[in-house]
Amino acid sequence: MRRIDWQVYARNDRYYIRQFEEETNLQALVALDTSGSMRFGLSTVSKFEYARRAAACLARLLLHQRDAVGAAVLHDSSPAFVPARQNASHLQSILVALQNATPSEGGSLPTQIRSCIPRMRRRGMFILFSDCFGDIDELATALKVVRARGHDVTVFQVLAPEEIRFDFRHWSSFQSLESAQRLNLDPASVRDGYLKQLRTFLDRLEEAITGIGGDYVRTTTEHDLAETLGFYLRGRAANGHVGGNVTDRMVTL
Amino acid sequence: MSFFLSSVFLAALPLAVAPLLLHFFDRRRNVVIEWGAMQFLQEAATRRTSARRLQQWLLLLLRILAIAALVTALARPLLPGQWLGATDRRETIFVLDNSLSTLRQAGDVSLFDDMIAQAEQAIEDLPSGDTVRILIASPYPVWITPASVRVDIGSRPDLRDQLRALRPTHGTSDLLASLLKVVQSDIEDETLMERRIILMTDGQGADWNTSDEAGWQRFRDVLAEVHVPTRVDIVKPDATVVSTTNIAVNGIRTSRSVVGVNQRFTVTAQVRNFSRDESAASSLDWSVGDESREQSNIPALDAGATYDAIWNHSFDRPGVFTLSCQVAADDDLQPDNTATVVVEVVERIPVLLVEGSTGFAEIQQDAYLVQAALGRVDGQDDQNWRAVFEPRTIPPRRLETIELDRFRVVVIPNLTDLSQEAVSRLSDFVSGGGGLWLALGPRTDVDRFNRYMFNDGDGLSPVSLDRIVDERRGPTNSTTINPFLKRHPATADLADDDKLDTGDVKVTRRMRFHTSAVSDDVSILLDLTNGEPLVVENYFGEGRVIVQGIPLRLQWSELAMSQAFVVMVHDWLSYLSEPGATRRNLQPGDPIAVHVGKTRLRDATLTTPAGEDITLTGEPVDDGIEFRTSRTILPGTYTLEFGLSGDGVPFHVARDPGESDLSALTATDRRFLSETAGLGREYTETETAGSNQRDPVWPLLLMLLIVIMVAELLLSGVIARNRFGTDPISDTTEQWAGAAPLFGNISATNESSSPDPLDEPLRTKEQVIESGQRRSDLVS
Repeated sequence: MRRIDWQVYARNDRYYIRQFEEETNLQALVALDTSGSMRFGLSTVSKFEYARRAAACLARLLLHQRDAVGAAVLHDSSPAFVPARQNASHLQSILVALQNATPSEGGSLPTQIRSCIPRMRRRGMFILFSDCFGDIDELATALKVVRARGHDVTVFQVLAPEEIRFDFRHWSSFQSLESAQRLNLDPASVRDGYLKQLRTFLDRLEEAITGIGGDYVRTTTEHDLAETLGFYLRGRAANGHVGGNVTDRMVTL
Repeated sequence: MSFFLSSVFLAALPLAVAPLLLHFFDRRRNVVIEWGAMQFLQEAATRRTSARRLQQWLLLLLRILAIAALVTALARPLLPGQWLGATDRRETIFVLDNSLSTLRQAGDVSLFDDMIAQAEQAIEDLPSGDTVRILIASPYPVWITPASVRVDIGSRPDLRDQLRALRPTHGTSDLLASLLKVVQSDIEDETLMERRIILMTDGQGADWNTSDEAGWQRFRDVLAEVHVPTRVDIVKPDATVVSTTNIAVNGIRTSRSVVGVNQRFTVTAQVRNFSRDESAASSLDWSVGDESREQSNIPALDAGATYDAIWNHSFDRPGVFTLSCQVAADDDLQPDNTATVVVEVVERIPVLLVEGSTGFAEIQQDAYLVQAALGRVDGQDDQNWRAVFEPRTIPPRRLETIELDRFRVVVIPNLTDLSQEAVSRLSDFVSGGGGLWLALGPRTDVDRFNRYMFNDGDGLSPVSLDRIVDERRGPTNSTTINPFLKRHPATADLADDDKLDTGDVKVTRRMRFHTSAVSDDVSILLDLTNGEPLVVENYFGEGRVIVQGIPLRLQWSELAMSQAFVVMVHDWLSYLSEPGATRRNLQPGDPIAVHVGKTRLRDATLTTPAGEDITLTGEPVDDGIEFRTSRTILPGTYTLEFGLSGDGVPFHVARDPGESDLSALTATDRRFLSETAGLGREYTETETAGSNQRDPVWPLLLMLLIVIMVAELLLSGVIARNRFGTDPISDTTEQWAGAAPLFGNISATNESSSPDPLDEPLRTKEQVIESGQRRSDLVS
């Protein structure tokens, strides 16, 4: 009887049992990968630009819900970190941090992820925007650590359409964006092998992320950002995500 | 000798490297791409298999080979020898001399039969697969085989039969034209390696026509341009076997081709000794049809000498008769011992006399003496003698209306003046084959004559008139007809000074012709001792015109009183009437033209000397039907039959007397042929035909090209499938568990009872709390 919420009964003439009452605000950290590979973009905006915009939109979304949002620019030499705040004016700080972020030559994404863990004092969400190129195992280990701290992990893998299709027809010189490596070859002759490699990587990546209980969203820079985020949000709402202490309801954009 | 028929295409062979150049050009277009997913590209590049590299190089090689095969096939290469296993392909063309001279005997057989036997044997010896053609050379080159015949077990008997069916003609052979026809003939088989022409001849020099230097030079030029190696082998009999002894009748002629019943005429046959030695005396047998009538003696003749045998004859009934003569000489070529002429015997030949003095007594008329010469006195024929010519007298004005086609000749014994209409009708008459005899006199209007009869050289008269000349002013008070008459068929009898007094005829006055108009082209029948022409002749259309400067009466001359006058009247009327008569004695190629009056007949059959029957269809003409043909190239007697009457009308085509000269080619001739035409190599049995055969390769190359193109297409497909056939990677995450996919299916398919929260209207936070959607489990 003591659990019955009489105020609700008085209003609705229905009995509701209050099990517990707690703070509803979410704490989220949007992390932006600034590795060199994120600079790639031929027919569309670069992956870095696309990811940065997605991170900004998501941050705004969370702030609008009175959730606390912080931002992390993952950079080897000059990382940036904006602690989570709840007030709407905090968005400006986040946007400034994102605006000032620049892609680097290289970097170890797993290491950079680990460096964010101490800054997440309360359980919340860790939302990563990256192409995730690199060692899957190391990345998965780093994300597992994040998850083990009670955070929800969401990985937005941003790829370019050229990376997915590899429809190059002429002899080309592929210059690495992260090193001095250069490959001169006939793209059509290696397409089959390249796609197999990429497909295997993506499958392993998805399996690794979902295996630790995280959310995995893959998109390309040619897709509309609103649809991409909307897809993600509907997915979370459909799942009735109640894991941890995260509110399961977000106001629709 | 080229191994390529179209070697110009080889210039395009460098195009075969085009695929290689394009490959390297493509590699040079290195596009620099700053790439992020290097880790996957590195692994793929490392794992690129050698098999794939091999595929790409193989594709490049196939493309190069395809272009090379196409260009080489267009150049049409030929492989020497029998690399492809094909047999020799050679064409042999037999050119057979089937002239009259090949009928002479060489031993027991004629030269022609021996020639045929050799040709048969040569065909038997030809290997199967070779091709053969046969051409005969007399009287003109004719292919016996319309196209090349491949020698095999089935064709040899047919070729043999065709050879055995050939017969010599009574004509000559034109070996130059025959060889030209052969070398100019189309080569049907482009792969032919050699062409061999075997000329089989009896070696008679007359058939070679060595006087035509330009012709033989042209033959040599054409032979040099033939792209197939061609050689000419001459086969002729052993000179010691072949005799050249020959007595022949060169020709036979009559004094008249149209004679009247009981009118005597002279037949002359010229016999010549073509042998190198004197001939023995012999006899000449005259016959009408198949009936022998007379014999003449032929004395011994020196080598090359001639003798004219004469026979005077008459027919007692009208008709067309064949007169032949045959010399009984023992020589090796009998067919030229005979000659034939066709004579037409008629009852009467209508002649029209234009009398300008009809008001006078008959004896005073201009035409009186002409009629008397024709045996007509007081308008009636002499009972004892009647000329074949039947005269009719009219006044000049009747010339405008009378039907001139009913007459053969129009005579104007003393021309005064004729109307333009009369001149026009006479022109038409002569053009159609009629004869016109104009005798000028004191009443002849010179100006009108010059204007209408001469007409600047386009009229009936070949000369214009000057004026009347009085010969009495000369030193002798007259001039006479020149007894040394030019040799003209109309004056042949008049030239007999022993029998006639032609040279004694005095001329006191005459109409003089303009000397400038009398050129060498004008035919002069009679002239005077002072050199001036007296009688001239003109050929006008198909007819003839005689213009004489004195009238046909006792005026200005003694001609009408002379013995020669009657002969002249008869001979010149015969001469003038000849064009209008049916020509029955022809030269090779002259047309046979027979005019038949109104009749229902439409078809006639012409039988040639070779026994061939040709059907002729009559063409309607003014007053009847005309049957005409020019298929008279073969010497001999032709017979034209109308309908089913069975009675044939004979025609005779004379042979060339030169064919009777059996002399062989002289050393000069042989040298000429060798130097000018490149001929002279003789065939011997030891000759072997060299095999220089080459086989065409381009059909194989084209097949190879097809195979290469198919292989290229298949390999391209395999490579393309390897390159672009890989399934694409999904560019988005697969369908979110329980949620609609990102694209295409926005409407929820979620079967969960939970509504799509995105579909619910926005609510305030309080409402959210009140609805129990805090972080608490609320159980209703």
